[in-house]
Amino acid sequence: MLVVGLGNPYFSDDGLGYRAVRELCRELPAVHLLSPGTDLLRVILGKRRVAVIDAVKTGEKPGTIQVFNLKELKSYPKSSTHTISISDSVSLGYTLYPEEMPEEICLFGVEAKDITTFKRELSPEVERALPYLLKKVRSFLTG
Amino acid sequence: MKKLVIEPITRLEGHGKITVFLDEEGKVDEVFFQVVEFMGYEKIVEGAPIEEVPRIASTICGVCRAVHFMASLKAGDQVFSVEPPPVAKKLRELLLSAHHIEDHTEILYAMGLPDFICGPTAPPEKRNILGVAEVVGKEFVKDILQKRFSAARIVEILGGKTAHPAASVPGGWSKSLSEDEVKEIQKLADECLELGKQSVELFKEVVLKNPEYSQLLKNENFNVVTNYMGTVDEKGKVAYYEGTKVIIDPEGNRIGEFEGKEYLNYFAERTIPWSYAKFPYLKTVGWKGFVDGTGTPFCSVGPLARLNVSEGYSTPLAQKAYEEMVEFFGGKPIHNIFAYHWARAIEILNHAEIVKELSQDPEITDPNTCNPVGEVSGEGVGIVEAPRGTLIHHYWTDEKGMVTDANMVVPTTFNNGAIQMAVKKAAKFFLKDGKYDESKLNLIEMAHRPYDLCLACATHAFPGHNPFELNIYSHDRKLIKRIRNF
Repeated sequence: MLVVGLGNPYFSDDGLGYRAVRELCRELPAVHLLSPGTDLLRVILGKRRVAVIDAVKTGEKPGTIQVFNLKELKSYPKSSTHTISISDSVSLGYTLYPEEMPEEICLFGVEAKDITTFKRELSPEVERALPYLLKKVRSFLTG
Repeated sequence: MKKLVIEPITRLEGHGKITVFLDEEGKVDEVFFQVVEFMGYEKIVEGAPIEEVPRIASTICGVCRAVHFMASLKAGDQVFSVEPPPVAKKLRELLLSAHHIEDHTEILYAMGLPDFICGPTAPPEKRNILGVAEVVGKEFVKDILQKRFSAARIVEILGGKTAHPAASVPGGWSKSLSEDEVKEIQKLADECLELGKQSVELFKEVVLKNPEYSQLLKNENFNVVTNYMGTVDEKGKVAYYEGTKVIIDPEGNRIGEFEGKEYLNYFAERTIPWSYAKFPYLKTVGWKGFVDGTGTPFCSVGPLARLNVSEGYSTPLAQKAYEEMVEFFGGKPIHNIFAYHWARAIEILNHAEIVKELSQDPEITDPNTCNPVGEVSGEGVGIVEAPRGTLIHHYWTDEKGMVTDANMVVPTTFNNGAIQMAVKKAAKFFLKDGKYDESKLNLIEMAHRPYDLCLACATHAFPGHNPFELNIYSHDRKLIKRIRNF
């Protein structure tokens, strides 16, 4: 299993993935990537269950937690400025490496309030959502 | 006047916008390539200890992480008045070359070449790496990706961390290589070498053997004639980690060379209201607006620029590929923008040869990877060749080594003027009749992809607010309304 946290730790809610990895790395295998690209593919190959954590912008209320099944999702809501998107990277994986890709892979997204201000802190809404998000991730990976 | 807007620009790092103004006859009148993303790293690093800056700077971009790391690390050496031992320089070079391989491969196969492999007018959903798999086969793409992963693994071994390196220390490198790690790197280097050979051959197969694409390489409409800058070693060969920075004019005459902060003698930056990214230009020429040809103020950087300023490459296979390319164009400088992709493929080969060579160096396992730091000098300039071109990090610190000011000049910024002209030329070429559809808009975007834009890196200016301007023109180009917040 693996936790992949995405995003830039210096831009407020975009740092959600980094924060989550810091919180979880003592109990679960976890890696932080700034953006997905083919690096995401590289780290998830051979893993059975993967939780990808990222700030998302879908128009929901800031702090709202959403879980997307990336194996089934055709079009993932764009979050920030990533080269090859999460969905492209995962689709590429299932197209090229069907045997090595995770049996289960979910995106745990939290609706961001601010991903552009230089700030190491999350917004209060996303900070409040973090413990609930971590609980969901733990339950998904170990339950 | 009709206005077309292509936003966001697909398949590049960051956000951008191209605005095309058509005249009454439907011909292209004016084109603006606009950077609308906003970062601010020059301010972010203020107050940070200089030794921590490489780890912060590596988050400027998910793609170019190792180069911001390396340039700021070199600047840190100067701030602490220390020269790294030979093994540390070799470890840094090794990481830099492995990073170039992973970066160039992603750019070439996922961003640049899909235009040629899938066809420039293929729908966007087919014109990507998945489309490449459909055209050339899954096994081929798997093989390429696997080899790219080999380069990424080398970065991981050397940098001590997945994706973003962490092994920086002023005056050296924080970890030495074990014999087992060296053996692994040597094995991975063989994979990279195959990747380099395949990339050069693929370019020839896909582009040169296709009469339509081959013609694009010689079509003067896609020549952006500028000055060029790159780094060369003592033999005049392309160098990446250190060397002399050389500037040539559009005719190939050497018009400048510098080290460190002497870059300030050659370049000035112009700020344009409609873009966050600055426009560097040669001070010796002066600002002349967006013009190419003899006397242009712009200086392009990147794989083609490096090739143009150099006497070729330091390794045999890359040198042979270079000679073939120069023969195809009938000499240098080469100004055709699509030649950037070719030079990029040759650089994958060059770096793979460098990685192989360094991994076999008996000194590479030397455990003495650091020299003790000296007095804090208060200033440091780190320059490296990034995949996209010459990258400059300049820092000033207080007496304790805390950053008080920073200046980062990144390759996409150096290329900003050339990109403007490339996009305008492509728009004029492909939108002659004023008719447009998605395929034509992609043809215009093909003009910026050779520069391998990284807008995330280019937008580190920090004006304090987001400048925004809306101009509304009548059909005869009279400004009837301007709304702006700056």
